[in-house]
Amino acid sequence: MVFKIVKTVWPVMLTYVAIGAPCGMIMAQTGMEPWMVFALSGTFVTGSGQFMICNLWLAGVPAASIVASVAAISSRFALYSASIAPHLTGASKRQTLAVAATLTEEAYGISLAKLVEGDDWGPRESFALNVILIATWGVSCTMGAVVGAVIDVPTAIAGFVCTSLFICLLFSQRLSRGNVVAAVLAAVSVAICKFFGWTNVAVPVSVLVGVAVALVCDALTDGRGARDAR
Amino acid sequence: MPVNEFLVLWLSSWAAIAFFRIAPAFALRGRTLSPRVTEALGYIPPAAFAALVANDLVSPGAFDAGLLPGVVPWIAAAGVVVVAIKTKSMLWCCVSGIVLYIALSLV
Repeated sequence: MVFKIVKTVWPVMLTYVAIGAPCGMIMAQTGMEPWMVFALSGTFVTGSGQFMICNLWLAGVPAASIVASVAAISSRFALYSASIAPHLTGASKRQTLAVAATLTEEAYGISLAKLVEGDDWGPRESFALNVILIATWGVSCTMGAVVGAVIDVPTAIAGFVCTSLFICLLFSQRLSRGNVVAAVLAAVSVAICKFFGWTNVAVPVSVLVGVAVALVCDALTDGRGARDAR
Repeated sequence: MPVNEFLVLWLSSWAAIAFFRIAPAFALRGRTLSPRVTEALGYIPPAAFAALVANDLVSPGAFDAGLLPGVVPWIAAAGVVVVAIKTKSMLWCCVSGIVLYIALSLV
């Protein structure tokens, strides 16, 4: 099973190495020891949250504000968790806990696609996928913190690998009117949020905006269809 | 970073992240969802991935260093979109993204 999952997910693992190493280097700059980097990376598994902690810590922001900012930027996980929940109907409580607690963005995209396809994929495979990616991320960040002084990976290039991955996952979605409306509105909403400086909440708020507008469009179309039928 | 401050930051943030990851899955687990809720959940993936892409590409200060450095990620992203539509392959998307980004940065 592990071999099958690694075969599916190795491009993502390479991406995690490419992004995790510079992330670990930046974390080391805040004075975190390698065990701290491993503990934090292996539990957060969110590059944005980890970069945020480092930036705010180096800027001298109080701990409570850092925690609030990380919580805000991580609220998007609630949407992924809600989205994957209907596909875990056959899972036990323990399996649901295991899959949900270890959810990452990339793992969410892959797991959701596989669970929808339904072919030889269940909660066990999803959990194993999450663990493989978490281990890759944790080790990559730690290695980055340890050897950061020797190897210099440009963060912008490493970050763009992740962008490419998200583009691939975005264009793997079904091309329906509702999906296009949700995607376009979410992207526009992110731009507006960032223009007004609401960077921390840009992603979760924009996802809600995209979903809400897509639902409104559906309701309006349904209403028009019903009127036409009458 | 002192160990005490690290522990406060780490455990507090982790508790928040864990709550966001676990609570919705348990709240919705085993429930028969209405068609409207199912429809809404189905719109989350495209909205989430579009938001993440936009979050990476949109930056208010992107053009401070000039036009070309600002448009490099956009042009590279457009190239990756073509690869994504043609191949649907994560590997080729990542490879093309790196190659395009580096090539355009060298211009």
